[in-house]
Amino acid sequence: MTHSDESEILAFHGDSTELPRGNGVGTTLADPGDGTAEGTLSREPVLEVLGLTRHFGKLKAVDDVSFRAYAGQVIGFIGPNGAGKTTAMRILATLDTPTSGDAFICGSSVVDDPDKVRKILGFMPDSFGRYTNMNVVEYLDFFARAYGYRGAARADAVERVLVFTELRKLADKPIDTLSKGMSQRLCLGRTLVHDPDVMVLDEPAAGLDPRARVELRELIRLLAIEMNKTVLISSHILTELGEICDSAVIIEAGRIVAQGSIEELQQQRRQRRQDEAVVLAARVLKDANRLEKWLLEQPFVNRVAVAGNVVSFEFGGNDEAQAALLANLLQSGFSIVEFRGKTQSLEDAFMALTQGLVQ
Amino acid sequence: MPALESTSRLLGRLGDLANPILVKETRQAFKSRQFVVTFLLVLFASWMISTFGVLMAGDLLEYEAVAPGFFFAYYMVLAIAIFIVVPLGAHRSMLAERDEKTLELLTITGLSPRRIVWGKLLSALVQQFLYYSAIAPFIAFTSLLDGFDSLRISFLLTVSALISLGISMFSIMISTVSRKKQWQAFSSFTLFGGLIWIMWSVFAMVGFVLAGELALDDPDFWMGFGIAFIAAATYFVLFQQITVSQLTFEADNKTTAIRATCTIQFVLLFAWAIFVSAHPDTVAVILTFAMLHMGITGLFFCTENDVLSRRVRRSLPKNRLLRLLSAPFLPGGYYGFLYLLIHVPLLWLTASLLRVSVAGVPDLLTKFAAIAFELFTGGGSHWNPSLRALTGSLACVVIFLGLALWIGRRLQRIPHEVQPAHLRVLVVLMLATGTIGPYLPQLVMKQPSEIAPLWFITNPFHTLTTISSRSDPWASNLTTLLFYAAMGIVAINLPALLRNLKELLSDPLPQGERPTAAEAPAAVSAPASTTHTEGSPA
Repeated sequence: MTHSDESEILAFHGDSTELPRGNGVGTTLADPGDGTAEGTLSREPVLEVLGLTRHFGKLKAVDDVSFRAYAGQVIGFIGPNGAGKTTAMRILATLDTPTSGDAFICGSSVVDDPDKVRKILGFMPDSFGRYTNMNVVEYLDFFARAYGYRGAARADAVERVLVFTELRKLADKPIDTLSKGMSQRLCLGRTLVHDPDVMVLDEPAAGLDPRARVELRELIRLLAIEMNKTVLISSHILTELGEICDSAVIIEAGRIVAQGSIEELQQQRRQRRQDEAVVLAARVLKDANRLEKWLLEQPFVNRVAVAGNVVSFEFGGNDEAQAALLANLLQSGFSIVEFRGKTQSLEDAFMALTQGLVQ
Repeated sequence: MPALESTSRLLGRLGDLANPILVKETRQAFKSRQFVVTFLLVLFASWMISTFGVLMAGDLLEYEAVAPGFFFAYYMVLAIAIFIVVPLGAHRSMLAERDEKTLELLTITGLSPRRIVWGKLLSALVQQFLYYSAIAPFIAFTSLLDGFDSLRISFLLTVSALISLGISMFSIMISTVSRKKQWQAFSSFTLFGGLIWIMWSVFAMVGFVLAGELALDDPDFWMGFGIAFIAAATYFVLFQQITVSQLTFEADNKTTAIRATCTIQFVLLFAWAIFVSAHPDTVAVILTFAMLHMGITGLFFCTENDVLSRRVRRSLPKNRLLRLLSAPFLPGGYYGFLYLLIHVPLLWLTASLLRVSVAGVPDLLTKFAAIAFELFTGGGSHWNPSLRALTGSLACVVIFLGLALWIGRRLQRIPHEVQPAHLRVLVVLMLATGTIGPYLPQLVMKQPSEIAPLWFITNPFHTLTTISSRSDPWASNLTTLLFYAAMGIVAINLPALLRNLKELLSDPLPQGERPTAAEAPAAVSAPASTTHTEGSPA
């Protein structure tokens, strides 16, 4: 990225339009595919997957998978082992061909125009891709050469990656002596060396210690925020994905079982589990015991427990019933300091939306 | 130091132009223990040979032609490096790219498979050059001794470099043929054995040349060498095309370059046969080799999957005539069969032209007419046994491959179950069954009686022996029978072949159109803008 590009992005940061980031509580955003002329004209998807299917004999590794992603988004690609994540990602990276369907990166088909796709897509597989007798800078230099960088442009590209991944001080270190965390940084650097618009990262945090995971997460966050890259990332560590993803695609047994923003996924979870009780808690200034008795008389309320000034209970009603309960609670004169539900994580949504199917 | 700086800049620019794989492999090689140890061993062994050679030769150095002996000893050291170490290194390097999954990383950089292959090959060439440079001072020392023949030694060193390059190419090809560990282990072991065998064969050649047995001033020698060189060059290109094909993206065209190379080989073989038409036995050998080559390549061409990817379809010529002409070179079993159906008659016509022996019939056209008539009617007076054998062999090729194509297409209706490799195994099994099958009744008979040759019709080797006999009464009839059987096999494949051609000609070539956003199914929510909140981490 040139200096002028960075300036443009910094200038963009002054814009007041909000983009939800991580933590699963972001605002649900308008989908340009909703049929509005404005949406369709203003934003083209950077990554578009259409009916992607891949069979291995009788096994349907990927079955009619479709989703879209836009510039600057981080999409979590979530699923249990054997769900078809890696297969789908390899197709996106032009390393495999779909049995049917297609995927488009910035409008170029991964099947028809793999050469174009390779120039604008960076793929970080779950394996390192290690060369012997090579140090960090030689490794990056080689991939810069392979991407067609020449002379000063190549040196700049390598330097940019070394700075971004903070590997400058390890530039002369043989790559087979790097720690797992540093290796993953180098992998990410290799993926970035040609400054792709779209990045597909397959389990980048696998095997990393907590500190390395946090550092990698920060790097990925920067990719989307500062460099406006679209990142499709798969991981088993869902709490982390929940913190960096705008949206998620949940896949099981080759099929998408849910997709949308983290908020939408949690909503879907709630809709699917209406028959199940959620745990709510109310903190009052006083009269916790009176609140306990009052709650036991209300519909959908079960298993009320008191701990100090906090009264927790299971609630089996829907959102409307929950709102009515809160209104009644206030009308009944209780001094409510806090009323909350148990925080629903991406992991909760994943567990609720998948069934643990294995092919 | 402006001169040094400009040289450095020039080298930098040259490095920019160099193949990235070459740069990487050279860097790795200089740091690798294997290269350093081999290089030092070559130097050490050569130094030992010089020291002990001089000590042992003693006064003989003054008045005996000792140069060939010294050269042979140095050559043995060099041969281990260039015939064993370099090709095996190239083989292992490509295998490692697959094992470490770095080949996938190379693929997505946009480096073409051809550049990857050439990078590996050039790297082998650089290593070879370095080993040559290690041995150069010792060759220079040998040149001071009596009996040094610079022409012969230059010839040997040049040919050795070419052989090393050729077997490096072959080694790289072998490493890409399969991803299965068992096959890779087997192929590496076999390759190692093969390389040792090649090295010993080259030693024999070197001994032969140094002994003065080879007349380098004989035009016939250079003619033969030229033919061998061209043949080797075509196989070098073929191996390269196969390697490139193995590394090519699935949806891309993996076939056309291989088929075009094979066609060039066939044309050169036919030209060679015509060139040596005065020597019927040589012609027979060349054409038999061409037939075998056609059978083996045809096995791969006829068992390919028939689906033309959108990418291949987009690269088809818009002109329908050109598209039709390109059909035999397109990927797919039916187009492969078409390729065979064009090349088999060409081979047969070449053979007929060269081997026809029709007494009393002066003009060529009449000769062909007579042979063709007898081919259909089963007569035999105008037939030459060699031509009959070749006709029968070509018919067998068409029968087995056509049958495999026909059966394969029926099996492939079971989706995702039958792969090209299965069909190739099927052909081998059919050949084995057809060969062994007719002998089985003899095993249960108490007194084997003479069985009519017709019983052995499924055994191509027995049948070809019969039809190439001058005296066997069955010879002509069996040839005609094989010919009709081949025609029958062509006939059963013809409707599907024509259907494929019709589809090819009427295909509205895809232009890479992309569905509009409105057509796309449910999507992940999109941000209204690419911008971010001020609170975002910077």
